[in-house]
Amino acid sequence: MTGGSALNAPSRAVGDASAGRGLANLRGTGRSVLMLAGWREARWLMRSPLVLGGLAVSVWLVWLNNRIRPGDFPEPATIFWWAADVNVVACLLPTTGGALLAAQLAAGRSRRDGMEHLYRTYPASAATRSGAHLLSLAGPLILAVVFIVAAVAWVAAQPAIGQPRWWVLAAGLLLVALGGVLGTALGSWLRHPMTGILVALALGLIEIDLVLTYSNPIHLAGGIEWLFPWVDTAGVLTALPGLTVPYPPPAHLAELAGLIALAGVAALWPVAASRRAVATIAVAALAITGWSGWDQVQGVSTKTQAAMASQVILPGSVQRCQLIDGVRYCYYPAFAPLARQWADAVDGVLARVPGAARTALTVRQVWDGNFFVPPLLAPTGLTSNGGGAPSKLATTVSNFQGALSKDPRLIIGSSMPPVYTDANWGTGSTLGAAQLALAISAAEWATGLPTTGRAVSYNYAIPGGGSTSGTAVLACVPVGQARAAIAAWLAAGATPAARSAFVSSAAPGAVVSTQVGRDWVATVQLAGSGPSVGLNATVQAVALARRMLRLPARQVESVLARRWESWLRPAATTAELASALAVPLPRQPVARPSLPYTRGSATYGIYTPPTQTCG
Amino acid sequence: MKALARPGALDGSAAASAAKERTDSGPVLRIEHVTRRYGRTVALDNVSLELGRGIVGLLGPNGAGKTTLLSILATVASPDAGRLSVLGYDPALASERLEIRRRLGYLPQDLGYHRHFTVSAFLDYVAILKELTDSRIRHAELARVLASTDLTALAGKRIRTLSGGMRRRLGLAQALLGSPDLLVLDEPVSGLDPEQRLRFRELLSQLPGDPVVLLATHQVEDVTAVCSAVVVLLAGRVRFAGTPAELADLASGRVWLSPERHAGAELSWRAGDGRWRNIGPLPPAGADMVTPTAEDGYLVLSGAAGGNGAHP
Repeated sequence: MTGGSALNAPSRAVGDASAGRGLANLRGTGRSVLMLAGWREARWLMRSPLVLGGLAVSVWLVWLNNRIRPGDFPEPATIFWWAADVNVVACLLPTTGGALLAAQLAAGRSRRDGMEHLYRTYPASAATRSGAHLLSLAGPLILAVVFIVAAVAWVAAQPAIGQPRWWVLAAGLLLVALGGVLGTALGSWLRHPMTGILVALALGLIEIDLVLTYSNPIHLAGGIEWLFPWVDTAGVLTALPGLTVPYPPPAHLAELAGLIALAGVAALWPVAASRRAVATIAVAALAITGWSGWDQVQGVSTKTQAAMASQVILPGSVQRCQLIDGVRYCYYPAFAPLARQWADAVDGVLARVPGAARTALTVRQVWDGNFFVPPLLAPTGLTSNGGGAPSKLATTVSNFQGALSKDPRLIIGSSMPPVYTDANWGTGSTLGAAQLALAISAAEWATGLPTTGRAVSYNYAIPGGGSTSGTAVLACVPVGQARAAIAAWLAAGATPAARSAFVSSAAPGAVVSTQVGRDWVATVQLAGSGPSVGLNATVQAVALARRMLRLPARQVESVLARRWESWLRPAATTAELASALAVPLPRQPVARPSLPYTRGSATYGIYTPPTQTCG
Repeated sequence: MKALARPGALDGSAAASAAKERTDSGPVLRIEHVTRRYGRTVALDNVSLELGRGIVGLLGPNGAGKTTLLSILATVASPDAGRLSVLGYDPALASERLEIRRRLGYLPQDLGYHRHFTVSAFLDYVAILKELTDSRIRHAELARVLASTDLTALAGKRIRTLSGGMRRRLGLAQALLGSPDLLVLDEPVSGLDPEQRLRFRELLSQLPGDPVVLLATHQVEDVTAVCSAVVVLLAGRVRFAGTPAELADLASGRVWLSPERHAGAELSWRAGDGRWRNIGPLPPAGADMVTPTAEDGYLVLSGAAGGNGAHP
């Protein structure tokens, strides 16, 4: 062996001899390396097809869930921020999944590509590289911020009622961050791409189950749903104005933050220089997560539940009232912007009512939705379905809602008959239907027609076998009465949009057979607003109203004004009204009985008990 | 090139700055009685070496311990026994290990790549990890190594589209980033075509800053062409350290030409002119002796040509 033998050779280095030494003096600090590497990784994450794909799905979901389409009314056609903000965040779940997958791939990249051996020879430590991967989540977070801002602007332009809540939107950012940190932690330990895919799939399936308001194939024990990163509470409290979500918001934010910290600890653990510091953070994060989890499974306090029910049962306790052109409009505070729009429809009716006593009319907003979505309401105690026996509170609310459409005296301070509107309102192409519904209720009030119905229990033996039973709220039919045509004319002429909606509603296809006493009458059902039963008018009355619309308004008003009180009597007929207006009396078609029947083992048709003529 | 033989105890506790100053006048790599085992296999067996600035070739058959030695010098592996001083720093100390890494360029034998990265994106990222955070300096350095490795035209290409030789050049480019004081290159020319190998030699010859270059290879002619010193590792032990000429001298008087294959030769092959080139310990009387090459010396040293594997 000749180790150590002397070798002498001239230096053959050429070029700038100071280059290497000079760079050594110009190197950045550990923090600048961390920031710069983090930003590089962030840019890659922002351009990752997984993140961008998730974002595209998020955008599609927001559009799908929050667009208002023609025909939505009377289905929820109004966007409420207290539901929409939750939905916007739920729509971020695909972006979260994309961030998880992309971050897992990025964090496991050096080992998966066989580069770790080389990377260990660089001055930037493994901890710096892991830190850079965590910092890189700024990329998806920037995209999430842009998404949220754009979604909020778009939903607000729909328009929407209320204001988005910052803590709900902040939870959306924490969701994306959690997905990314979880992916980074996975990649730090398990480099195989399937790891991220399997985890995203497992969490995704549970999350999908939790955010969908139907099916729910995965049943979790009551209450623990809130421990998962996101549950779509939008379906739980959709139309409850001003209510909060049924869990403590700070606790859920703290839980997400705690989970992020725990995942961050898992990501840094293999490379941490000071494991004691990381362990301390882990213990603190565990404590925060545990506390927030415990706090969330406690359910809603009795006091909060009582407040929630009180808003429904005693709306006057929280509502504000506003006088517009002599009419009193009472609404939940968030709905203040709608009062003017309601007034447009109501004014359109009252302006053509001779000597209308506007001050006698109160248009009151009521809540007629259902507490829904099993099993998410288990911790709230408000559920009235989904397995367990309904709580006392749920029963109280349910009974109130049942009574709302048939008891005109239910809410103190309402008009007689009451004119209700609910949380739904139209916009764009659905505005006409919404205006017509409220105008129908206002016209019924003006013409003395009932706005509420009569509850009937029935048990009907179907010819051919079988039976059907239940309870129905029935609207009376003003058969042959002039006031039905007058009410329809008043409502249809309230606004141009209401007129178009009326024409659509009175199309030949809308004719149904209604049993009035022993007779069958061809009628058209014109929906009322909120829980009102609406106007079930004869085909003849509706057709006369259409002819009245074609006449000059002054001519019709003059004829009505001459003997207004007389026209409102049930005895005043459509034939007399047509004669006074000098128009031909439209034909009332003969109605065929429409009863359910059994053929073979199948039953066809729906049974509706007989109603009465409006008195 | 500084003197290689500098026996003496290492002072691992010396301050980093002082250690740096020492390397300017002394050996830049000092390896003392280093042993490394993988289970029962002894990869390095009591290796001692002192190397100065210049290009040093590391020769040895597969499994001789070359890659293990380079991994230890590149701070990704540590010895089971023995001490090292690299550029005056002790790699056993975390703070000094960082200083070594700041001055190191390393090309592993088996290097993976981020296949979906572009050439420039990959080098830019590596430059950041090498603490080149000033964008102006980093971009200039990127342009320099791209030009040095003839990759400028491929800067925007994705790595997955590059040939094996191009990727090897890319590996070399990342090693050159930051103009390191110590270049550890494990089989840098494998996969390169003859022209690229010549370009590689040119590149090594023009490195700025008079770095220490440790070059492990099976190509003896590359060592002869560019290395001022050569170390031969056999079975985990240093069997030779000297100049290529000294390596060639090991076969002096053992190489001869003959019209037919000589029965006394340990290794014979027909040369391009039709005559047989024989290597063996006992050339016949009156044999047509030829000047040996470094390759002949390596063959004698490794025992493939009749040597006993020990330095004669």
